[in-house]
Amino acid sequence: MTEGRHAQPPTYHRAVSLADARRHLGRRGACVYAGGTDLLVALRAGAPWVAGVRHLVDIKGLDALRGIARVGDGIRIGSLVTGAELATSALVRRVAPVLCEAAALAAAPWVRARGTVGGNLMSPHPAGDLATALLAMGSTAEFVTPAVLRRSIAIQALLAGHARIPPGAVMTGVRAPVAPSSAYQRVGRRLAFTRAVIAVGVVRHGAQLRVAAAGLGARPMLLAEGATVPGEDGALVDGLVRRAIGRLRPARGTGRA
Amino acid sequence: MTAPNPTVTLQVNGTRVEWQPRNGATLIEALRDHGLTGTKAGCSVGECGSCTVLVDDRPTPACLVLVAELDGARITTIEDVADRRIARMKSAFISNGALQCGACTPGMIIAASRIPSGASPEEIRAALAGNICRCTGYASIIRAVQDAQARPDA
Ligand SMILES: Cc1cc2nc3c(=O)[nH]c(=O)nc-3n(C[C@H](O)[C@H](O)[C@H](O)COP(=O)(O)OP(=O)(O)OC[C@H]3O[C@@H](n4cnc5c(N)ncnc54)[C@H](O)[C@@H]3O)c2cc1C
Ligand code: FES
Ligand code: FES
Repeated sequence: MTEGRHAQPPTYHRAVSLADARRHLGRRGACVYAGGTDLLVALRAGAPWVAGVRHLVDIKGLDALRGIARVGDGIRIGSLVTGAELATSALVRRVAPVLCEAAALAAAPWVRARGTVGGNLMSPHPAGDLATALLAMGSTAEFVTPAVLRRSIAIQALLAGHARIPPGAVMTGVRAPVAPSSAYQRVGRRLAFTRAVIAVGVVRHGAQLRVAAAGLGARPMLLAEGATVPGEDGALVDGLVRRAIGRLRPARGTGRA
Repeated sequence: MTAPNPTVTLQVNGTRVEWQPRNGATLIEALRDHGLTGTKAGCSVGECGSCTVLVDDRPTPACLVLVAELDGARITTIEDVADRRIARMKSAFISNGALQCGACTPGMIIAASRIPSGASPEEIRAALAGNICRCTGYASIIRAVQDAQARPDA
């Protein structure tokens, strides 16, 4: 079983603190290792995006990167929060059904138990379900980099490739306005365990809709921001959006609706 | 060359072992290297569930975990004869004809053994969603799980 093997298998390091992680990540070829569900597949396949990886820096021991909390008008989600945690959180179900539904639909149970928010946003796949929901919500990611202790980047810019993330940056968490009126709809070959072929997340703030789609481009993208939805992306997306909108709950008590 | 990984100490089926993982070695590779060949590798990329083992009592595909990250963990494989829930599931699979070629069976039994008792057929299906069987059509597997759950603790 060596075919497709990464030519130079990386060394593993367990970070014991954020400072320790930053120190390890200062090395050439160092890469954050979270749930590993994207990284280990990519390493086995010899994917180009991991070709330079020589050191895996495991951040799973860093409790500061965990937890889901209400913060002011929004919600904060640690980068190590797993899909399983999102899918079963009563808070997320209440204030961000789009994210809860996306998490519940993604992958098989064990993948949900290991795969993290940070990994879903940072790995270069076209149909990340958590990334799509977070994009629809208008989220912002927080990073620490080897040079800077805190840097915020809008997820829209991150996914569009407009933000340069310095090597060795660690995403610590994500902040988003609450989205009690929101829904997620997905089409996949087999819903249970494969990645979505196409999916949409829809968030409504009053009369305004934000629609994000997975599977249409290299990364999830914002399809519409405003009251109308463009039809140019084809009937399948239109149908999905309409179904997702049909399932929206009325926005209540968000202070934004 | 990159530096080697540190040694890990594990409990494998109740026995304490110290392994020096090769760089990038996954748990399935290490288990099979150490003679524990009951766990089967199928896709090796997390999609089929045939390599499922228990890591700290949680079903986990052994192809998508590095040995290096498991220092201190408790690993349970299909070879564990002391685990009652696995034993019960094995005999229920046999009496319900829930296996044919057997490729999926070790992973399926491990995953099934941790489904909370009283689960509905839908809940059993959801819990086994990551375990693919090419042969049985699943009906006999669902029956076996229900049967095992109905049996008194042996
Ligand atoms: C069988 C299978 C099915 C899957 N199905 C789905 C699906 O239906 N939907 C879906 O969306 N995804 C799916 N995935 C993909 C994967 O599980 C998710 O993308 C998951 O969220 C990745 O998180 P991780 O923690 O495992 O990432 P890792 O593999 O640990 O990391 C992925 C990338 O992100 C970087 N990274 C991780 N965390 C951070 C951080 N905090 N800061 C900076 N960089 C970071 C890593 O350096 C790496 O480049 C599937 C994967 C498998 C194996
Ligand atoms: S071999 Fe591990 S999931 Fe297929
Ligand atoms: S018995 Fe053949 S794959 Fe399940």
